[in-house]
Amino acid sequence: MSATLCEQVIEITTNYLGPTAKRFVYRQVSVHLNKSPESLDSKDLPILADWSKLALGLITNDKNEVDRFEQDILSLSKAGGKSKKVSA
Amino acid sequence: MTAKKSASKKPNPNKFYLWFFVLLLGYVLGTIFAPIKGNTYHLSNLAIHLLQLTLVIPIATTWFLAVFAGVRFKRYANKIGDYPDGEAINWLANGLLTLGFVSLATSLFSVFVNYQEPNTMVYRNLRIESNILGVLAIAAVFLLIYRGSRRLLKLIDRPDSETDVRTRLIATILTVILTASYAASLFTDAYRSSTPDALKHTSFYMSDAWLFFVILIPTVIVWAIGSQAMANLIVYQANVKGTTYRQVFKQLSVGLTLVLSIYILMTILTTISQFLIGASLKSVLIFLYIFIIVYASGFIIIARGANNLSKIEEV
Repeated sequence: MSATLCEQVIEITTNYLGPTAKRFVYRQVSVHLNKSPESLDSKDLPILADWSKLALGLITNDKNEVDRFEQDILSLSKAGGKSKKVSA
Repeated sequence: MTAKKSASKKPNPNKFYLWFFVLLLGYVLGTIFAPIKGNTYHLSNLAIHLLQLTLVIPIATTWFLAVFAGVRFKRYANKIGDYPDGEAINWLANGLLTLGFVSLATSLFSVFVNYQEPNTMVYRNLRIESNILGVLAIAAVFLLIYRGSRRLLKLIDRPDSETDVRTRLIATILTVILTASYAASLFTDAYRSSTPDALKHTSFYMSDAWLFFVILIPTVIVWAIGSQAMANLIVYQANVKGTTYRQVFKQLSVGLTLVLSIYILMTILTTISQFLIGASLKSVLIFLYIFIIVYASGFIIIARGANNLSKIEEV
């Protein structure tokens, strides 16, 4: 179940960071949440969204894109970690 | 984890700078101490040396920028290790580094040729070897970049067929136009097989049949590969997932396309250099500087793109 959530985060991130998404998500989870990507659960999503927003903000100046990215990750929490159609 | 382990074993790309400066030193010394032959613009020896410097410095800067962009690219490739995009980027980085070193090495060879007495057998043979080596060297560059671009393209599930067809069609049309221009300039050059004054007119010292099979056909094949590599990069950039990644990768594809295009144009220009003989020194220099600036800009764009891609892996 946790692995599925991680995959969903990677799927969302792929819409922004393409082939670098998996590495990006793994890095955010292991460095900022101090846990393995497989053990990611929905309670971690707000913190992960915060760090991911901050990180994407360092790569692009497009504020709307950064906000959309954060909302897309948070939407997984609202959906209870279930698979949903991602925007962007 | 496997990818990370392999990445840590990759050699430090900074060593390329050492090799570059060793070769550059040889080129600068070779140019400065080369015997002054011919004096088209009737300049003093001091003026000729100063003129050489005004050209050597910007040209050497473009070679340095090529190596600099290649090293930046290589660092990024090392960072993402053996991931599929990492392998593709590594091929592109190798192509760029080869371009920087090949440009320097072929010029170094030309400096060595200039020490020979013009129109002697040794001079002619070295000129022939220099031309053939030039074609082989650029073939290596374009093949490396093509291989990297093909690998990147394989990462896309289904590229948009309209973009794909349109880009390849434009690339093919441009290759045909460039080929026609190159063939026309090559075979209308009165001094293509031999020259009465090797200091004024460059010559291939080959018969037309040899020129066709040894220079024109391989060059055109190499350009076709190069133009398809550019098309691959444009199609990849247009189709790859990731809005932010696409923006960042655009710098790389624009820079590489600019650099490869300018290189092809410069090859054509060297065959029509006879037309520049009649031009004033000022207009020749302005013309050369514009080319050098655009060429250098391509490498700067690539280096910036590689830096921004690296940033994605650091945040």
